[in-house]
Amino acid sequence: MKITKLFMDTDLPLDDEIQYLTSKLKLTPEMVPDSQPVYDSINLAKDPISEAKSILYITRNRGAIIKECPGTSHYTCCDYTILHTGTFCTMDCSYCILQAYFHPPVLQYFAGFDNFIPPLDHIFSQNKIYRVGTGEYTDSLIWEKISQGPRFLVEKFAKQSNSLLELKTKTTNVDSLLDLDHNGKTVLAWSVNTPEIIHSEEKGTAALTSRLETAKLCEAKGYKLAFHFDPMVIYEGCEDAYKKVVHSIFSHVSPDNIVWISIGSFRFMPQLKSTIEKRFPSSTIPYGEFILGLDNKMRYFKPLRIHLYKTLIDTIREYAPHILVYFCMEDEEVWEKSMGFFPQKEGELGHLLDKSAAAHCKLIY
Amino acid sequence: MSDSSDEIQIAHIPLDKIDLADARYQISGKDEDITALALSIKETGLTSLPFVKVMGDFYIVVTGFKRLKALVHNNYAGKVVCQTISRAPEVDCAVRAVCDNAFQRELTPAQLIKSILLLSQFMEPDLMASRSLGIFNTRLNAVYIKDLQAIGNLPQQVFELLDDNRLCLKSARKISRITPDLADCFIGIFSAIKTSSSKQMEIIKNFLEIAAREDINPRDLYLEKPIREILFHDSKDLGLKGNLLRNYLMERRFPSLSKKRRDIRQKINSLKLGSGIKLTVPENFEGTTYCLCLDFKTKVEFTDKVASLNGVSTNPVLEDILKR
Ligand code: SF4
Repeated sequence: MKITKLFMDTDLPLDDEIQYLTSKLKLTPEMVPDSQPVYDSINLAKDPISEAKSILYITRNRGAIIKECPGTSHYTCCDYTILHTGTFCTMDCSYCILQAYFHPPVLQYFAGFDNFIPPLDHIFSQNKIYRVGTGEYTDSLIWEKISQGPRFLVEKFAKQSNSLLELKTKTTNVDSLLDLDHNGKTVLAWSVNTPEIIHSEEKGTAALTSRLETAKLCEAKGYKLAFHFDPMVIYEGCEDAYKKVVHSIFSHVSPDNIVWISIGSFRFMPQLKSTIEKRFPSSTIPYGEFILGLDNKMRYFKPLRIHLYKTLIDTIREYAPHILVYFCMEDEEVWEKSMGFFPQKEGELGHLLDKSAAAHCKLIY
Repeated sequence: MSDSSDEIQIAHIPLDKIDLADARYQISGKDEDITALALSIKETGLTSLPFVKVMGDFYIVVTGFKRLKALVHNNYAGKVVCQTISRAPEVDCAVRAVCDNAFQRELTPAQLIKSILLLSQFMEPDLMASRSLGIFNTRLNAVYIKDLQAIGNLPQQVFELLDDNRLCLKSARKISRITPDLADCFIGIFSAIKTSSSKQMEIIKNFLEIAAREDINPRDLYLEKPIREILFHDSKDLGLKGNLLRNYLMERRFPSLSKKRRDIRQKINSLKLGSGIKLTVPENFEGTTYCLCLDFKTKVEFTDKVASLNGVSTNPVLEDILKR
């Protein structure tokens, strides 16, 4: 989706960062005293969610810059740290949770690299490992085309030793990062799916082979990698299709350079269903065998999840027996039945991930 | 309504001069039973006057269709005392027709929709909404009015289903938003069954989702043998057919879940827990906590049931149930 309109807070300086952004977008920002005109502009549209993907609001992050991953009870969380650099996305996945998360969603760019320095310096001075990601409320690298933010973060993380930066994306936007001295502290991560799902449900994202070609390029530049099979979608023939994705990954990159692979199946807040039906009428993704999970999200019927996970994990193990594979938001039964173990203790999964992060990115604390 | 009250006249009009076939302002159902009303009129005469409008040499009815038909039913052929007006704007007549019904009793869904359709010829939904309290004796909002307009465009059969409580407004609204030939399928379905409004919605949802999941035309699904067998089996009552259809659609929409439920139910039955002992599995098999409920009145009964449970604990089927 192309950005066609730009709003900017009046109290932001027209500094190098903003000038870079406006010159890349070739748009003159409309200065606004607060977010109201942005909301008005979005809400007036027939499809506010689509509209919100073409309107960029340059503003300051007025909330927490660093947050703990929300997680939920009943399902194991990975103790991730979120760096809040922006919100929403220009790509258009039918299942995107961000459509239902904000009312309306707004594509926000949080200006001011300086704002990130104190909270980052704070975590860099701690005596523990941090796994930090920017891909929770946005795609980490949609911004790479218009901002030097990703570059700033890679260079910032390169100069410390206890934290890893994970940039999670469905794009191939890595040009400005390839030649950086990243010092192994940045993990470039791709969400992957089967070509069928990418084609039918992930509008505007890069094809699987493009993602993997880009991963290969980054690997050659010394970056560590990660892959996220999330959301896995159950459909006829999906097992074989996901096996092929695994095969493609390992035919592009070496397991040694993969810090982790996460797995999660499609789950959604019940109210997302009507949004998908309205915005993506040909999508059948909401019509799987979903039940209401213990976290009040719709999830595939558990035996179906377990079956698909097991197939995927067995295939990954064939290529890379020692790679760290983990579940995003699954319970003990799913772990045990598909992975053969469960990180029972509080923080145990986080600890496993820290260990892999430390080993691959040479973190010390 | 324009202030035309001083132009209203009371007139003695020959019944055969009133065109009862012109139903443009009729809100009540055409086939409503008027036997009791006819008897009442025989006893006491007309207690409230019909309102008719001059139309050339004839009169058309604005209010009082059933009263006038009751007179015909009674074989009355003389003059009728009516209120009449010569130059009443159509919109005023429409409003009068609706008010006359709405202030006597709550309109049935079909009557409400007919009223909306009648008034829609003269006013936009926003205006209708702003005047709704004075016309309908209740407040209606413009969105609701638009929904009712859409339902009003469905085939006539829908009105009967609505008044018969076989189709709720929510289901009718859902049906009004799909293609006409598919709407016909649902009208066919709800003409053959009777079920609560939440189950109607579930049937519509599962039906459409099965078609989407299986990539089949919903019309073809409607024509499938198992569905037709349920719908058009004469020997079954409408409620039973509703339940059969609902179960069939649920099993087809959630095949793995339904199969698992069936399997586990069979296994639990095979445990022969006895009366007063109930084993409940986690909802939808998502959680891992099972629940055992045991009724007892006396210590002896308690001891007996615990003893029988001890026997169950070694039954390999229990293991199966827990493994799922
Ligand atoms: S790439 Fe991620 S953030 Fe962007 S639309 Fe898809 S799911 Fe949402």
